[in-house]
Amino acid sequence: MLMEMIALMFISALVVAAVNRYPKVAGIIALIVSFIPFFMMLSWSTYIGLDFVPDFLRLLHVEQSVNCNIGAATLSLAITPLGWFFLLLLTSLFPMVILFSISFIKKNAGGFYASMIFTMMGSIGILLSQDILSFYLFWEIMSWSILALVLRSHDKRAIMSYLAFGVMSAMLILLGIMLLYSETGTFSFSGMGVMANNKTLIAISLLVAGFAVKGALIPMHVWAPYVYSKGEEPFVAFLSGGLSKLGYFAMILFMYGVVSIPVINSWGTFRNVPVFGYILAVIGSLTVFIGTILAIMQDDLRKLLAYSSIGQLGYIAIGIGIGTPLAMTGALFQAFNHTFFKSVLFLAAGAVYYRTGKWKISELGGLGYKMPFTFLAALFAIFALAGIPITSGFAAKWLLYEAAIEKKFLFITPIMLISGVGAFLYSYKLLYGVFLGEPRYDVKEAPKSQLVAMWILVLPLVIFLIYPGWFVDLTAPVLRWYGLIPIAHTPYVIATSLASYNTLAVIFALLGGLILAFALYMSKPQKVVPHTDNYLAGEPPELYEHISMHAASRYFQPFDDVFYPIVKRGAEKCWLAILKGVKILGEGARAVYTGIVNDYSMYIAVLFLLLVGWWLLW
Amino acid sequence: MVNTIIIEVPPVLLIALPLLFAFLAPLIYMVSKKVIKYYTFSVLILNAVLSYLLFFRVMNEGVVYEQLSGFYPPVGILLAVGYLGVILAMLINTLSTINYVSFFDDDTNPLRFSMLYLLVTASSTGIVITGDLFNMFVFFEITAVGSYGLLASRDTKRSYEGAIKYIVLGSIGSSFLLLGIATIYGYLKTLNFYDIAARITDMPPTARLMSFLFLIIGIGVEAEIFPLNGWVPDAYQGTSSGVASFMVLGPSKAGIYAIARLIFTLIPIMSGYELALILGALTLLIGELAALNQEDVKRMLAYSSIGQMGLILIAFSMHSQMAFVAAIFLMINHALAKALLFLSSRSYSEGILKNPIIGASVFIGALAVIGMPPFPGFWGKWYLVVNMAHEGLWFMIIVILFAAIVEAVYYARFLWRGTGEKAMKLKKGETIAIVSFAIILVILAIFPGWLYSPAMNAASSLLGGGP
Repeated sequence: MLMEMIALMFISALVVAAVNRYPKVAGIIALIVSFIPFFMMLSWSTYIGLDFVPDFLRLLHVEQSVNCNIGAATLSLAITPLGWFFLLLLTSLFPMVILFSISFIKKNAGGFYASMIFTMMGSIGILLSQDILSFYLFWEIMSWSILALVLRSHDKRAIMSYLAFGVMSAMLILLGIMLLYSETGTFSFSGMGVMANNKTLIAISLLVAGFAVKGALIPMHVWAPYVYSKGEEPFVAFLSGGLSKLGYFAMILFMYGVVSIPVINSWGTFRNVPVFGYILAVIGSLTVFIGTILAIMQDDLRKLLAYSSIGQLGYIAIGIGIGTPLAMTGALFQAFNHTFFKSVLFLAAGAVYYRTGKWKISELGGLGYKMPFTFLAALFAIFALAGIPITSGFAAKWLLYEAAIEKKFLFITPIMLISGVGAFLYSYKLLYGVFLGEPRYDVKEAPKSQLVAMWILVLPLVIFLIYPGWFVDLTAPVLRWYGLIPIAHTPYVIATSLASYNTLAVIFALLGGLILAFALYMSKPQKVVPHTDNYLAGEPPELYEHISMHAASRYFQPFDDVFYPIVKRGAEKCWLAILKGVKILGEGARAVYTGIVNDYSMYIAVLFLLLVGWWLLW
Repeated sequence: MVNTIIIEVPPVLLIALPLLFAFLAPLIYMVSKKVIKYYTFSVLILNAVLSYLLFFRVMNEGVVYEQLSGFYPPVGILLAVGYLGVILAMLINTLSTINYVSFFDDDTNPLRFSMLYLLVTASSTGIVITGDLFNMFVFFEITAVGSYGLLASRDTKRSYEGAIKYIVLGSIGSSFLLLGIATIYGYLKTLNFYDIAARITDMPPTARLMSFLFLIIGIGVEAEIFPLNGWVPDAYQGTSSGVASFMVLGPSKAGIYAIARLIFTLIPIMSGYELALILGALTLLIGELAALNQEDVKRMLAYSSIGQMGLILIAFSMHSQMAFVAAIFLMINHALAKALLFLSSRSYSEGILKNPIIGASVFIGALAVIGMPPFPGFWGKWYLVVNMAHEGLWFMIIVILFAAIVEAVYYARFLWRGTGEKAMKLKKGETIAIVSFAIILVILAIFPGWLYSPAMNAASSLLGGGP
């Protein structure tokens, strides 16, 4: 059944591209097709001990594993708990993103949907792959399908940095898997049985560096701000929310699946955490910190979300690096939350742009009154992002904090906490600058299809706040698969070595606080004042532009002044210097071709003499 | 395979027919000036069909031999159509037929152009199916002379400049080739490939090595090997896009085939492999790096083409079955994708990716050249790298991967320039040719097995010292 489904998706991608002239038709076909992977994911749940199969799907038999001979090689695909978990994220996000695009994408819609479907096919292949050939093959297919979508931005930096980093990541991965292959002599993940030696250490380092590109970890993140901020919003929502997780999927797969925990531990441990993982966690925490700082400085809505995305993805790397059951659950939980809240935020930004045509936060404002449902969806997403306990974002961050505190990591823990506060700063800027304050535009609410897409994506964040135990159940097969013991829990309570987290207590405390705040709010009569009142006591001088009065412009100016010199395009400068070095080599190579035929004839003579000389000496 | 009807196509038809029709072309031209293009096109189609029939015959029967002019080998001229030869014959004939479509809207010197086109197609095919060294030399000469004419056919200063450079270097190459053949003939008194291969050990080592050097330098000019490839950037930049794509898919592939035959069948010496490996790596690096800063699209594609030829030479020099398969995949991939990109380069401008059909085709072509899956180039690189990992050649792997990153950077710039608002103008014929190349690439991407089994046969045949 799997091959038929894939073939169906492939054909429908071609059909969608063919009906390019009718965007709505293409969108509806793509929407129907986009549910195929979701249903496949549901059907596969039987194989990993979680039976979510709806009755109408029981008739279809989706295989657990398929060996697909494509003539030049045999690809082996199978569902594993880890693959299924990430499949859950991607397949639930995908239909909603397509639903959002139906009203959003106007130009060359067929090409957009076809590329999106190809991307999804590549991702499914990655998540199911059981050998390095199929992994690499599908990884590349996924990469260039994204490239097709990046090309639509017409932005030089986005295109060039994406392709350069994409291919660099592919080459690092290729080198890594070739080292593993030459060491073990097999392609299959399960048959590898990697031993601890220097070659495998280099291999796994190269692999993690390669995956860090997709996961936007420092210093491989340079492409991400450009691509995230220039692409079309539904695509960016899928890229940041869904596809970036594939990098972390691959890290878990290779670090804990292919190279096992004992082997990683044998390269040295630090407080019972492998040094390798610790370094990854430190890189992750730096990513969190720098991403957050840069996000605070942005005035462009998309750039803010892009850097915030980089920052939030760093948390996953911290969890994977620490690698205890608590940390892994936290990492998976963060991955899960990030999928939903970041896609909601990007989609909300898209909806705002759809109605107002503006990206700058300082040009927006007061949209909460005009687009209340968009505002509420974005509000929930921001709560999840900042880790406020009205969504499951709190539970994920809490697990990660506790995992770091449990190991007494004095560098990682404070940085995470500081960055948590930083997340509040930029969330507030986003919230206030775009949605609150004086209404500036007389616009309608976002189209219904966009609202439905956003609100469906908000649902999981709320459900798993109330029942975090359900989420631990979802991740339990993953942890068992790699030899970890899932953490103890009931639906409401997660018990750990330090303390236990009871959601009911948290929710009641929060509700109490909210009621109190509401009572205080209602006790005095309120009045809405214009933005400019905050600054100038209701008397704005005419000569100033309105924008400079906006609360969000130069909102954190002192903060920016302090941090800007530290984080100013540091990594990007290094990469540009490397590129410059290579370009100098390129100039040297070009200088060989002088364009003078005498020189070329001389080259032939020199080659001949050299070869004769070489032979005489040899 | 059992039920296929095999028509016993004599291989010589593949060479003789286009030659004959090329010389009949002036007569046709005298009768009607308009019909000449259709005439040439139908000859090319006929030749392509013949090459298919021959392909199936070889796949069924194994190597097909045909002796010409009644003398038995080693005295008479022998055609030996091997697996690799017939794959390339099919490739060259099919693709040059498709490529010819792009000239339908071009009216400069139709007679001269059509004659030269047929001549070069015939002689390139001749190189890959011949079993005789001198015969190969003759075909090389015809290819070279025809190519000079084709490169100059645009009647611009640049076009003449490129052609002149090619003439100078090509003549030097030919004299080296002739010297090599003379050395071999002087010692062994034979020109037949099999005869030479069987008795090569009779030659003194010095003479063997000298003849090897002469031959590799002679053929290297045609096969775009560094540092013999000075003519490539100027010639490709100066000529029309259709001729450039034809040069990529025809003569250069025949040249690299001749090198493969030379280092495997004719004079198999260990240092030959090392030499080919070093030359290949140099060609790859110099070509890719030179393309990095190049702003002119055609010149960039020309440098990139040099790099790809280096990669193919590296694959051939690995001397193992998987690497051969890799080389065949890379050759086919390069012929298709680079020809596609060259065709799109005539008026490469902003907005080429705007047009959905041409845009998708150019995108596919660029991906295929970079070696992205599932296009044949990916399988080529994959087999090559796996084979190198197997033998522990890590340095070469890093060179190849570095070159791939450099390649990605300049193709990223290429693609970026293709996005934009301006409308794209390509002639109808060019569009048809580009789209056909893209369709073939996609078909080969979906069914790599169609290439894989003939390539495996070809690899084992070449490793066994066959054609």
